Amino acid sequence: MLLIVLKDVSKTFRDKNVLKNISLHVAKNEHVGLIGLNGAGKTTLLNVIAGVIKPDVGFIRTYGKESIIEDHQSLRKMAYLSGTRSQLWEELTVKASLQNCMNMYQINPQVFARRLEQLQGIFETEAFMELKPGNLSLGERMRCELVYALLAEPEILLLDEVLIGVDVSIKHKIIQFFEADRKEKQATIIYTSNHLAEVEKLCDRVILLHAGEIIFDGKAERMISEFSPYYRMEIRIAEGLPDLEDLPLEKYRIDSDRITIDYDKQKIETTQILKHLMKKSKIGDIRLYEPDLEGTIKKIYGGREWKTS
Amino acid sequence: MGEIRVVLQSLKMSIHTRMQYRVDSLVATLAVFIRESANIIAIYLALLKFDRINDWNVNEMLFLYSILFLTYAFVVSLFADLRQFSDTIREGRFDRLLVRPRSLLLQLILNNADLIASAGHGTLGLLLFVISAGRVGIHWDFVTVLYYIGAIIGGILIQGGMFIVFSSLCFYFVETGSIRDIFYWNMRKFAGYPISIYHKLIQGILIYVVPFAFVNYFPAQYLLRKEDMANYPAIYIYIAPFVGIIVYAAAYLFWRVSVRRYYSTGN
Repeated sequence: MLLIVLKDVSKTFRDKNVLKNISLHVAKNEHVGLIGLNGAGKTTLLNVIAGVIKPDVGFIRTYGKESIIEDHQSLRKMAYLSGTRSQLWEELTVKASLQNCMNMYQINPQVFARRLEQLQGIFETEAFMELKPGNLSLGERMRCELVYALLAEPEILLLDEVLIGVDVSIKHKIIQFFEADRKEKQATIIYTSNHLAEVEKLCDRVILLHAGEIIFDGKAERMISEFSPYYRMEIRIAEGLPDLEDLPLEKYRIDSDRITIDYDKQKIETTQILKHLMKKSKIGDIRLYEPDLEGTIKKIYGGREWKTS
Repeated sequence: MGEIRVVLQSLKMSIHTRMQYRVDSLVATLAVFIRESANIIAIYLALLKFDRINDWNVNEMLFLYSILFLTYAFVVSLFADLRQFSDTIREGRFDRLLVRPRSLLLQLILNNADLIASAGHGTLGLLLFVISAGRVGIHWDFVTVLYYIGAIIGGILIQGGMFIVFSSLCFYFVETGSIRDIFYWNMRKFAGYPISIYHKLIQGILIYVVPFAFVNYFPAQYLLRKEDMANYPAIYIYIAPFVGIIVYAAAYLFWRVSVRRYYSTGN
């Protein structure tokens, strides 16, 4: 069953083509990662799917509705959570906001209580209930927002940059929660992010958006194996020159005591390279650069160069 | 029914928030009351010099004023969120309302209800009513009481409708505060006096553009029957309570069209 269907959707804001001929289908229970650099059009695309923005041209159906926001029955099954736009009421305590949510989504009070307890356990939000959102840190607020969004057990979840400002331990918990959800197949989820690594764990499928166009749509593993740029290692040698000829490296350069190596993780592991190096030489210093999204985009475009930012 | 529950929930939340600071709320209410009373006292003292304006005596004019305050007491709580609606749009706080499964206006009505202003204006309105109503020779019977209640509800709807129209304009223009200041607050000041004392143009605006005349002047005419009513069609007295329904319905349609335009053209 296709929950979200877009065909040839375009949107222009003040002469800027924010979305160009976007076509995509999302099936029930699919977890899709929508990635792209800042300004690629991710949030606009999410807004189009949510019905908050109407496209200039093109066909759009979410839950079979052209404009889901005009149909409250369907809207009740969708949650749209954004890292930059709060759903909580600023003037109310978090608890009061959650009660408002119960009323708006017509959640049975017993179901509400049970569900709240469960979500509180996952996101550790009990301590924030009597506070107003303004008194919470970005990460704390985000956790409360997640509780709010998940209370009504939405079938479609649109998550826009929800891991921003969340500290590592909680980030891990959130990722775990959605990984579990992915296994249990409870919801259809679209995440936006500009971190490939974040999305990789959570999604069956990755859509890469660049300058308003979809330039990749497929499995995350395929994107990484086909288009992820090389890892780069920079080493300062303290003693002895290594022999790198036998290793399946993409490229290496030796500049007196400095060595720069580009390699593909599919072909060789970082530890293998290090082991090999340490056989003949002593390593003074080492730096690793992970491939970034920019590199991936360039590679998809055929460019071989990438920046080590 | 669900809709009513949501609105009542908003009211409950507003009361709850205010009650957390009881003393503050009481002092603030008193401040609103004193501020508005000071205006009235100044007007009262000025009027004592004239004795009558266009055949209206002081008590009759206080009665006219009491309707303005009583209706505003409801308006300021029911439509509180629409007062700063341009901020809501500008700061991007409106989009989140769109994705909630509830009517947009119902989400706004009674949210952030300004109960302090309500209490201040309401108390003053009641006080003016008590002072004047007994002295202006109204014969209160079932029909007049019914008419009076209808006129109050109509007055609330007229002003609510105006707030909705001003809010809808925020979807088209960035700055709408001055339009509201001119057409709401300035016209409301005019409505404190019998409109027959003004230039025809202002009378026209008060009857047909921002129909404050139907909030207090025509309803008061039903109860007081002053001579200056001869300047206007007699039917205006009788349709006054219904004008509110028409204004509110028209405002609601304009709101719907404007919201649709807002999200279809992009924001």
